[in-house]
Amino acid sequence: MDCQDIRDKLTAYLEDDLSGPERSQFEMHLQSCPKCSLELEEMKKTIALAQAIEETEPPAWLTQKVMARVREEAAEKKGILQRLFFPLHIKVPIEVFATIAIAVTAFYVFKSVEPEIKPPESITIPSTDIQETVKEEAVMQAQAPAVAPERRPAAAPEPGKKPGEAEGLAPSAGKAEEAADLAEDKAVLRETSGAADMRMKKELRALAPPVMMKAAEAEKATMLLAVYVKDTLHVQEEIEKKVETLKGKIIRSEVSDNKMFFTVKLDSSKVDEFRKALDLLGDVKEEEALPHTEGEVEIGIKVVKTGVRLH
Amino acid sequence: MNETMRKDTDPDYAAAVRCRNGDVDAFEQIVIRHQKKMFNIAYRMTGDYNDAAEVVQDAFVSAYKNIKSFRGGARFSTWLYTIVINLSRNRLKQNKARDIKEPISIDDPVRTSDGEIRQDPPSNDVPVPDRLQSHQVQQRVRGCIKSLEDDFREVVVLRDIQGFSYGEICDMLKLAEGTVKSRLHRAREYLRDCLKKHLGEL
Repeated sequence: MDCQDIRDKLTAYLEDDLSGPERSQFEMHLQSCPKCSLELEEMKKTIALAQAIEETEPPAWLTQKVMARVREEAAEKKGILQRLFFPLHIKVPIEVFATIAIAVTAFYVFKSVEPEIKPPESITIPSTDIQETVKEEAVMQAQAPAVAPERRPAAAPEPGKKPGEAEGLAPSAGKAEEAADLAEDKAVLRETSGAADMRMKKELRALAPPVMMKAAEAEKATMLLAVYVKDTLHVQEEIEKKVETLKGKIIRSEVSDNKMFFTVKLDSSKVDEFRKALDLLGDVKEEEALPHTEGEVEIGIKVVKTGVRLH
Repeated sequence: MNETMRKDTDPDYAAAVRCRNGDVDAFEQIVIRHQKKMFNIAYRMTGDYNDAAEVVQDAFVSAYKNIKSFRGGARFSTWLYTIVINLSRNRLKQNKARDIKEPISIDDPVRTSDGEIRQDPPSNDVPVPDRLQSHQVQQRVRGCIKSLEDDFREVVVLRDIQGFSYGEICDMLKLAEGTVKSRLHRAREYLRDCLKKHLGEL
């Protein structure tokens, strides 16, 4: 080992990195070489000086500053996590809400448009009801004494031909037959049944084609009534009172000695009640029927003074 | 080393696991425990107090952000110190780039946080051992360490000042042990020469 080897191995020696034989060779050389011994001492001192460097205290605020930034980072991390997981956890309910909102909106839109889309349905349903009432009325009238005689002679001969069965069959068979026949012979019945006939006519007219009704509704639902009264004395007062109680409005009134004309605005649901009130005043004739409608209607009332009550 | 063994030998392992699970207070314990050492590594490596303070802050924040990448392969402290070493290296590179943009005269005294050292004449007043604790000697030693090349300074700081083992230094610097040893040897030679120049005979 020469001096250069020793110099190269100074650190290895000081770090205890030399093998046994190397170490003894190294130490042997040092003993015989003051120059290398000095080098070793210098190296030892150099390391000692480096090791002697005192630790410097970090600024007092360091922990606080670090933790402030770390907490900020933690909050931000949470924010990122929330942003990442929002779609997974929250978006579903949002979609549900959106779907519900759309469904509800669509329902209301459809609901508000529906009457315009399918007017025939809304009219045909009540009209069948009316047809039903017409039939019922017809049956009832058929059973009424005034009509009965016309039909009886036809039914009578049958029980006569078969005396044994006559008593048992006559009431039921006869009635069924009557109902069927009378429904067919409405025209005949109408002519014979007076006031009831009037109503039937009105209702039948109410059954006019839906398209026509639609048009009437679009313009203005109107009705023209003629009231034949003996005395016009309290008629105006009565009409005004009734209109008021029915929350209607008299738009126009013309009054002369023996003739009066009123135009009344009424809700269609109140029309029947109004009609009944007019019936108390005198004979009412419908000159123009009211279309089957909803909402406000205009009724023209012609009051005519007559000496004699009709019928 | 597997994780079970780490648990027993690494005093920071439990705190690190708590941090990984979002416990910020556990991280504060780590900061308190290691900030001084980290600060001193950064200070010796960058040679600037303010740079060191910034580097340490950045290192802790970076450690917190990347705590999930700590898998217990080494001691947690080693992992932390690696971060501060890397950030110190980056800071030195940045400073050098900045210095090139704003050149200073080569005749200017080297400005360090410890004062100007290069123009001080060698002093032969008192034998070195008696002066070891003196402030002035420390200043000069620090100045010499600072004047080392980055690669050499690193190993001197980690081995002689911080007292890390070769194994730890290899982990932190990602260098083979042979490289660390030879660098350390050359670094000490440079340091010795510098000290001889500034302190007179050792």
